[in-house]
Parts: sequence; C-alpha cells; structure tokens
Amino acid sequence: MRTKHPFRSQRLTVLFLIGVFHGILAQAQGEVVLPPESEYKDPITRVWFNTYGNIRLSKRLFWDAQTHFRFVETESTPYLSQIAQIYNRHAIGYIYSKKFNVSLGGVVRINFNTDPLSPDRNVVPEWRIWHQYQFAIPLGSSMIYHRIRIEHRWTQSFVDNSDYIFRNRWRYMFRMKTPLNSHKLQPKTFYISPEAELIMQSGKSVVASPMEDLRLTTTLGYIVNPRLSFAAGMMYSQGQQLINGGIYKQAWTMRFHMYFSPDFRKVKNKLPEIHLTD
Amino acid sequence: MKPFRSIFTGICVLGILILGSFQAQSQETRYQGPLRVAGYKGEANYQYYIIEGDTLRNGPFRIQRSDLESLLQNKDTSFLFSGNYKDNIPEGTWRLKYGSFTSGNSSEVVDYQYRVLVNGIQQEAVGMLRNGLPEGMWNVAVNRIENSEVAQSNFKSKVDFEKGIPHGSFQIEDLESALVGRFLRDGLAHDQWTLFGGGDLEIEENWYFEDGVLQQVETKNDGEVKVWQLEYESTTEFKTKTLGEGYLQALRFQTKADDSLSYLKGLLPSLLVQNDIFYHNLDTIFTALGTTEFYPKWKVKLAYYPLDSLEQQYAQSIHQDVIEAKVISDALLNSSQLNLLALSDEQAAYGYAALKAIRQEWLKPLGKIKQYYEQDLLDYMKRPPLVAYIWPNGIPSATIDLSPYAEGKIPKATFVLPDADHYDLYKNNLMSSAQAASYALESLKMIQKELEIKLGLHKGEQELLAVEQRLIVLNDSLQTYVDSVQKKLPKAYHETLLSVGVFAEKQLSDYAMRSDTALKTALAEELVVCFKELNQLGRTIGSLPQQRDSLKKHYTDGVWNPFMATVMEEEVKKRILAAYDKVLVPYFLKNIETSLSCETAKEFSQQIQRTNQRMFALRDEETKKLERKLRKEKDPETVLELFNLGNSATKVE
Repeated sequence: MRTKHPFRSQRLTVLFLIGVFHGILAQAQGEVVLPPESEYKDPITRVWFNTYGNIRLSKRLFWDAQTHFRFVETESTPYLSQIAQIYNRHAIGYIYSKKFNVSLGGVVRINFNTDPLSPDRNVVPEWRIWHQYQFAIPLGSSMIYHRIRIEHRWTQSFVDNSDYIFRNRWRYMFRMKTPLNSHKLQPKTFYISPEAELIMQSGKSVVASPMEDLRLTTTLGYIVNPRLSFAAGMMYSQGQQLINGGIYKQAWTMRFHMYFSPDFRKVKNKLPEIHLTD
Repeated sequence: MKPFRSIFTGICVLGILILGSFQAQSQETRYQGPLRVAGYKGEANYQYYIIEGDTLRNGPFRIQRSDLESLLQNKDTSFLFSGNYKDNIPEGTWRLKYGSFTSGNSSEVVDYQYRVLVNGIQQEAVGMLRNGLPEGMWNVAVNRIENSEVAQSNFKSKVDFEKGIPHGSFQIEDLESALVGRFLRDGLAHDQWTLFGGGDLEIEENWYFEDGVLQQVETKNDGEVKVWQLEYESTTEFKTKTLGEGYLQALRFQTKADDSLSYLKGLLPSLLVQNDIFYHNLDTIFTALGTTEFYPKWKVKLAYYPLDSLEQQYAQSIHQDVIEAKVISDALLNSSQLNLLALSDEQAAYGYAALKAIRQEWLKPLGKIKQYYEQDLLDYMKRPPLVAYIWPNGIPSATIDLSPYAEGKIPKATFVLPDADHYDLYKNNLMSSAQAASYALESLKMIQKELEIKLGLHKGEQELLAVEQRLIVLNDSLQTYVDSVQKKLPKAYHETLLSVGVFAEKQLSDYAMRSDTALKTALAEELVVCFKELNQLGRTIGSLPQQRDSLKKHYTDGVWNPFMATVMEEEVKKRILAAYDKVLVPYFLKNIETSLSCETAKEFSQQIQRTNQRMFALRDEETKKLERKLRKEKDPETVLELFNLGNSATKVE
C-alpha cells in the first residue's frame, strides 16, 4: 500500500478547487478517491442568452451562426450575476431534405474565470471542431427532432501557460415542438418544446466520468414569422465531475433564445422555396 | 394612515357599485307588445338597451300566441318561444314550442278555473346556446296530444353539441324505428349507424362511415340481408358536405348506379331527412331571433367529381334553358284563352298537346339537373349514373309522339323541329342533356309563335311578348342566383347583391306601369341589355369571396423555417392585399349600392374584374415603391390610380 504524502494531497485540493486537469491530473489520478456513494453537489444557477442564426446561402447550403452569453450566480446573487462564457459557434450546413441536414464547423468559446479568489488568468479561449446530423420527423401537428452532435474539443485551465487537453464529446438530443394555439407550427403560434440531451465524453483525461451532462429542458416559444422566433425555458442538468466520477454537478439554467433565419438571396433564386428534389 | 386607507377603498367600491347600478338601470328597458319572428306573430316580452341607435335585446325573452276563441270555435295554432339574450345574441337555455290544437268535448272546473282539454300536435325543442351556437344536449320532439296529455311521441331526436358541432352519439326515433349513430369531434359521421325497427326493435339497417365517408350499407328485409359496398377509386378526392337532403341526393350517384338506390329509400335516410327538416325549421326561427349560426355542422364527406369547363357550360345552359322553357310553357298552359281555343281548334289542340308532352317528357327530367345545379350537387355526382337516372330510357326521340297527350282531340300526331337533325341527343352525357334542353326550348318557342298567331296577336305584340319573356327569364335567373348564394356570402357582399336584385325588380315594376306599347318594345329591349349586365354584375359580386380566397393563396409564400424544419406559409405584400380588402372592395360594394343604374352596371363589373386581374399581376411585379405609397392611403380613387387602374368608373357623387 502506498501512503499519501501530506503536502501533495494539500496541493491537490487547491488545484481541484480551481479546476486544473492536465499533466498533474495524470499524476494525481491514482490519488482520486471515489466516494462510497455518489455525491450530488448543490445545484448552481445560471442564465444563458442564446442567439441562433441560420443564413441561407444557396439552395442547399446555409451558414449556422450562434452566439451565446452565459452567466452564472455569485454567492450573493443567483442566476444572472457574472459572465461565465461567451460562445461562438459557426458551421456550414447542408440541407439534404426537409427531414435531414448536416453541419460542419468550429467553435471558439471565451471562458471567464468566475472564481473571485483565483490568482490565475481571467480569460482563456477554448476551441472545438463540431459536426452535426439532425433528423426532423413530423408527428401529427408536432415535430420531433433527433440531433447527433460530435465535438472535438481543446480546453485549457486558467493557470498560466497551462496546456490544452483534448476530449471528444458525443451528444444526442431528443426534442419535440408542439404548437399550442394552432394546428401547426406557423407564424403567430406559441409552442412548447420538451427536450432531453445526453452529453458523453471520452479522451485520455476522462477516466471515470464519461457522462459529462444530462440536460432536461422545457421551453415555451413563439413564432413571430418564418424568419424570427423567440423562446424561453428552464433547464435542469447534472453530470459527473471530470476529476472525480463519484461527484455530480447539478445546475438550474434559465435559457432565452432568439432564432433568426434571414434569406438574402434574390427572389428568383428563392422560388420554389424548398422543393429540393426538383 | 391605515383606517384612512380602508375608508377610502370602501368609498371607491361603493361609488363603483352605485355608478354601475345606476348605469344598468338607466340602460335597460322592457318591451311588451306585438312582435313577428319568422312568420310567427305573437305577444313578446323582453328587455333591451340601446347603443348608437341599435336596439340590443338583453336578459329574458318570451314570445307567445294562443287564441282561446279560435280554439273553442275550431282550432288554434299556438306557439311559445322563451329563452335569454346576451347583447342581442340568444344565449343559455331556449325552449321552442309550436303546434295546432282543437278543443276536446269536455271541460272541467278546477280551482275556479275553466279547463278545456285539447287535442293536437305539438312540436318542441329544448337546448342550450352559447355564443349563438348549440351547446350540450338538444332534444326535439313531435308529440301527439290527446286530452291535454302526450299520447304518443311521433318523432324524437337527441343530439349532443359542442360549439355548434354535433359530437358523440345521437338518437333519432319515430313511431316505428330508432336510429343510433355517432359523430367525430369535428362533426363528421363515423362508425356504424344502426336503425332498429319492428315491434321488437331488431337491427334493420346499418350504415358504416369512416371519417365521414360512407363505406358500406346493410339492410335486412324479412330476414334477408343485403349488403352494398361503396367502392371508390383510389384517386378519388373527398370533400366535406352538410348531412342533409342534398347529401342523400348526391349519394345516389357516388359510385356506380345498379340498384343502389333502394337503400336510399330505407327508413334510416328518411329519419335523417325528418331530423334535418326539423333543424332547418329551428334555424329559420333562430335566424329571426338573432343567431345566424344555429344550423348544426353535421358533416359527411362525398367523393368529388368536379365538372370540367365544358360540363360547367352544359350545366349552365341546361339551367338557363329550363328556366326560360318553364316561363313559356307555364304562360301558355295557364292561358285560359288557349285552353278554350284548344277545345274547338285542332291546330291549337295540337300545340297544346305538344306543350304538355314537352313539359312531361323533357322538362321534368331536365328540371332535376337544374335543381342539382342550383344545390351545387353536380360536382358530387358521377355523370354516367346521373344521366342514366335522369333518362332511364335514354333521351326521348326528337320526334315527339303526342297521342298520350291529345285526349283523342287530334288524329295520331307527332311533333318535330325542322332542324331536329342538328341536335346530338343520343349520347348519355351532360352534353346531350344540354342539347335536349335546347331542343325543348326551341320547340316551345316555335309552338308559342304558332299559338300566338292562332290567338290573333299582332306582330308587334308578339315581338313585345318575346322580349318581355326574355326579360322575365333574365330577372328570374338573377333572383334565383341571389337567393341561392345569399346564405353563403358574408353580410356586406350579401347586402350589395341583394340591392342588385332589388334594383332589377324595381326596373321591372317601373316597366310594367308603362302603357304605351310603341315605346314599350324599345324600353324592353334596353332592359334586356341592362338585365344581362345585372346578371353579370351579380355573379361578379357573388364570386368576390372566392376571388379573395384565391388572391390570398396567390399572395401566400411558403418559407422554409430551418429551426422547425417545416415550410411555413407567409402572406407577402400585405399592404397590397390590405388595400384591396379594406379600401377597394368596400368602395366597390358601396358604389354599387348607392349608384347602380343600367348605365353603370357594366362598368362596375368590369372595374371589379380589372382590379382582380391587376391584383394577380401585382404579386409578381416589383412593388416596393407602391407598398410604401399605400401605407396610409385610405382613398379608393388614389389606390386605384396607384394600381394603374385609373378610374373611369362612375364616381359616387
């Protein structure tokens, strides 16, 4: 049996607190003790403001442009207190049919250090390459969506000169949109949208915590016109901590979305609107 | 501070209450006196208030009639309608009773009152209305009353409604049979509808519906079961129709003919028709009481076989020709002068027999097509079985045998038009039927000419008569059209259309007042031209809502919404469509109502037609500038100018 060196374990605690992973973590892995029963941390509260742009480029191609502003609580103020991340996701999408589309692109996310006591850097970037496969299926007056999203992600900690670690994320989302005051999803319609997304991860640094996040959301939306919708909802999420798979983070997140899809193409190229197989 | 605040609140509440009750008192007035509701004249008692000169009924309402004297002498028709109004719309529970009674032989004295026992028939309907629509269970009944008690229920029906739409199961009974069936939530007939009959109420007839479409019928007669399968082609399109008599008419020709007609003579359809007639009667009363939406939305689906443009023309010409032929044959057959002449003069008797033959063998069958055309049923009838039904032995020979109609007054004779060969009467389709209608009309015109000579009319008089006949036919055609579309049209259009009908009637009665024959012919000829234009204008107005629908479709674009992955419909160039809807159409309608004359009629219909064409064209033109200019434009003349339509029409002075 190995005995724990007191100094090293103290140093680890500090590092855990500021969320450091790579290198040291590899050395420390042996030291992580899984609790006898899973431990759920108190939920934190967050607010996300998300804009989703979908700009039609040609008959089949579109530019997917998303910008999200994510806020997190501080001790004194829940939800909207300090900025945590600014998130930019872009892709070129391809409409295969009304029922299936794919996208490929990149993400740059700006992470803000939300620990007021941290001596480290305040802002670090995070990079991703992502691709997505989305199926849309009409069901009565509702629509059902299956979304498979795969992300290759490079992250680094706030510690000066820390290295990037690489992980893959495997995401599946089920979503439904049901019109409330109309028989179909059309302008001037409220809709309700329950969704569930499971995010799994893999990579050298992922040892005992493959389930990064499980997100359960219900959103209420309003379609202003075919090119503009708004939605707001509440999300509960939980997932394993990277460094200790026995500890589960939890969060309640208020989400506000704006969806816009301008089409700057000339009128003659627009018609017919989506008869892709003509 | 606190007590002061509560006192203040108290005063405010009291103030509002006093003000409210004062207002309520000052508005409501009671009326007690004579009133007429859809032909029922009686003593009414109700409350109302007045807003901007409009009398709005509100609260309990009651109208009744009974006449003791007439009851004692012979018989009395009495009625009692009672219910509630909310802001001039019937609301809540309503009870309608009407019937006719004779007094019995006996009378008795009960508590210082003379009681006379009555016998008769009482019709009764009870149910709830919400927003003017039937809601919940409606019970209607026809009872035979003997000695002031219900002796027998001749007819009974129970239907459950939701927002005017029947749903769930219903029951209709008469003396011998009972029908049970059900409707879907959207009012469509569904599942098995069963008729129980006979003393022990056994199943006698079954109709099977699927989503409103009749699929199969079974009937049992003396233990023998007969099954009809309605086989529709896989490409058949179905359209929703009201379940009424028209439906049963169309049902005859939905699939193939054979002997499929016999189940339509069963008890089940007859119960449906009885119930429908009852509800039509209730609808008339409730329309007079202030709700136009009472008639239930019981629905079925019929296979749709739209007339192509040629068939449309055939149907239209049959309609026109039959109307005109009827005017001629009625005028001649009802002429007492001709009746007398036919007794003594062989040639007149010959003409008279030919008239009767044509009416019986040609106009009677053709009249059915005319009627189906007026009821909009031809689109739901397969043409071969329809034509086979109208002409069971084919279209009669152009050489008409008059012997059955001659009553022995003339030797064996036939009638034939000299150019009979030009008529293609021997194909069993609408075309030949149209030819038959035209053949019948031309024959009647020839007979008319000869008879008029016989009657000693001068040439001038004959000509005048012919022109007048055309005038009457044109007016009839217009008035029939006005009547047939009025229920389907929104109020504004309907009123304008009505004013066109009234204008035509007025012209005709002004004309009838003239006595100078010489001037009359010229005037009648002018009026014929005018009435043609009025017919055209009437049809243009009547088709405006349809035009509007197709314009709306034309101005709708499918836009792909990537987030929903659906195509959403969006109205484009809204300002143009709004200018059409809110500025131009009301302007046209008002113009017609206020300044219609024989001179302007043509211009009015052309203006509307030009505008519709322009609207279709504008959809695909560059209109950004125009839309900007239309923004606050409310003046119809300016809008017309902006649309490049100028304004050559007569302006409202």
